[in-house]
Amino acid sequence: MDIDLAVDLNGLPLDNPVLAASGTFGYGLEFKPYLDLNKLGGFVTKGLSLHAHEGNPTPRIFETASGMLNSIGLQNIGAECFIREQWPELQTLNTVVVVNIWGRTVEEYVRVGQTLEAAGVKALEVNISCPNIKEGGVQFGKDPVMTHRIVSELRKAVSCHLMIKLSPNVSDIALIAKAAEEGGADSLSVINTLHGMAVNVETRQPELGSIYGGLSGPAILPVALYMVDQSVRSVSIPIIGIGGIFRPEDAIQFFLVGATAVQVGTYNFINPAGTLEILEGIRKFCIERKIASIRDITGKMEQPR
Amino acid sequence: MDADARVLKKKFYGDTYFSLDLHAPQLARTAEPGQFVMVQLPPGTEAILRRPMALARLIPPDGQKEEPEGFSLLVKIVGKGSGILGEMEPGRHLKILGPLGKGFTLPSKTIAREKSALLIAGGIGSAPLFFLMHRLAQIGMKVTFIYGGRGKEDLAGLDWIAEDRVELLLCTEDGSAGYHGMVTGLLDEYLEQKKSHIGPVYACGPDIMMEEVTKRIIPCGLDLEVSLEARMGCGLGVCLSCVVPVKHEEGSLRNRRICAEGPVFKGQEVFFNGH
Repeated sequence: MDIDLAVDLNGLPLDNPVLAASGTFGYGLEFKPYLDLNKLGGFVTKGLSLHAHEGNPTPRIFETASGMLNSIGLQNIGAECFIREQWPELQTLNTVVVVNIWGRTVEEYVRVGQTLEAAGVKALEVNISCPNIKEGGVQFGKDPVMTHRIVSELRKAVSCHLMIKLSPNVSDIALIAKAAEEGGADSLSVINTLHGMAVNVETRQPELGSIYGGLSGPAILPVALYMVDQSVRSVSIPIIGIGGIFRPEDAIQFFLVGATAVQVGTYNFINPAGTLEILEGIRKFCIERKIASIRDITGKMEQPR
Repeated sequence: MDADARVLKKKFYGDTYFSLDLHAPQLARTAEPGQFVMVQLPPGTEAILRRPMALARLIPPDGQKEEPEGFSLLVKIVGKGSGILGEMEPGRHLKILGPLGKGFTLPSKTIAREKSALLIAGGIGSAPLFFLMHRLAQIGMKVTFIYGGRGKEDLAGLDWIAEDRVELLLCTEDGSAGYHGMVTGLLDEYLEQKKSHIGPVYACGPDIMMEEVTKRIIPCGLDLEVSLEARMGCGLGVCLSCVVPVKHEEGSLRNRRICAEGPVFKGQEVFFNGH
């Protein structure tokens, strides 16, 4: 039985609904030894700013129960270096390469977006939600007015697909989702990491060099599902579900709640071929249950009896 | 490559150190001293991340085959992950990603013939140096292995040192084995007597030890390589957790990934706590 796994993100077609998430997949090419990148629905590159950025002090990672905290602080090579060194090969791939961007000001977001679009980038994921940058970053994503402003300014500046990555660290994600949609977003990726911290009881020092970090991994899956559910109910643009996907069944839950596609994040660290294994698991799930198209289960969660 | 490696043997050295022999011929064939692997814990634990571990030794071929059938890890139990690994029994399997990273630079044939290599290990830092020691002995080089710990229980894996070309110098802070004192004290005495015979120097151990070693070796004009360790998320160069500031040519500091540009760095490029 041939399963139709193709999905459409508001004019951006994907061969299948599994992408690799930003910050867990490098610039993509690092994974060539472990999987055929062209078999992915797509992948999202590490967040780029206008200029190279060195990130936060170490330690930058700490494992927690069924999860991990990170405080990388968006270390990246900068948009121009990316265009020079990574983009020529990325452009030849037969998969959707989404380039993640961030900035300290609205103007920086716009300039990074324009620079990348001019180089031929077809889809941008806009990080308005990183918890590890003090200026800008998450502040934009916490405020519906700022969210609307940044999305609408980008919308005016570029014509490529705009995927807005939302923060769970807000009191009402539906409001932010709506603001992004009204600003001109093509799709929303939900969610970024949750604020978190850990303290070493012997040294009494925080486990992360910059004290606070972002929590990811299986620990956050229920939170992410809830946030996707709330976003789906609030907007009509496609939602890409992210948060703790380690198994095919985790992804299926996101589809049932209404996500059009999913991004696999932390699992890439543990299993570099994990995205494709999850994709195969989704296919198997559909075959076993005679589901002809993945789109047949999107948003098909039943009400409790 | 991501190998499904069978545990061949486990051996405890006291309560906190043990070695695991793993069957992984393909991985062992391409492994170089100084490289590491990412070990996935068996399923069913809430610890999700893989653990970075140095390749400590290739298992010698059994006589019928020419190539090693696998490798050994030397592990110190410090937390959850290493504790779980200590419970692994022969016959169980572990997923092992590797070999990863850039290993030690081996000396030229001339230097290998004329000089001796100095290896300096502090505690569990001995792991990658055992593999290096075997490789250097294989190419016919004399090796001096300084191995220090708090007490003799920290000197695990001594049974792996069989080569007659290896001069083993032990030291313990509590005096329970070898020289009574720190690695650096023993190193000072050694440098005084043997400096002119030393070729390359290799060190792995706690940061404070490597900082002190660097301070002594670099002014002597000797080549020093240090193997660094850090918490790692992926081992693949993508999570950017394990970065270390490395001195750049113009004197500025740049983040380098221990998993990708390292774990072995030149002694003069590493920046230890402000020095």
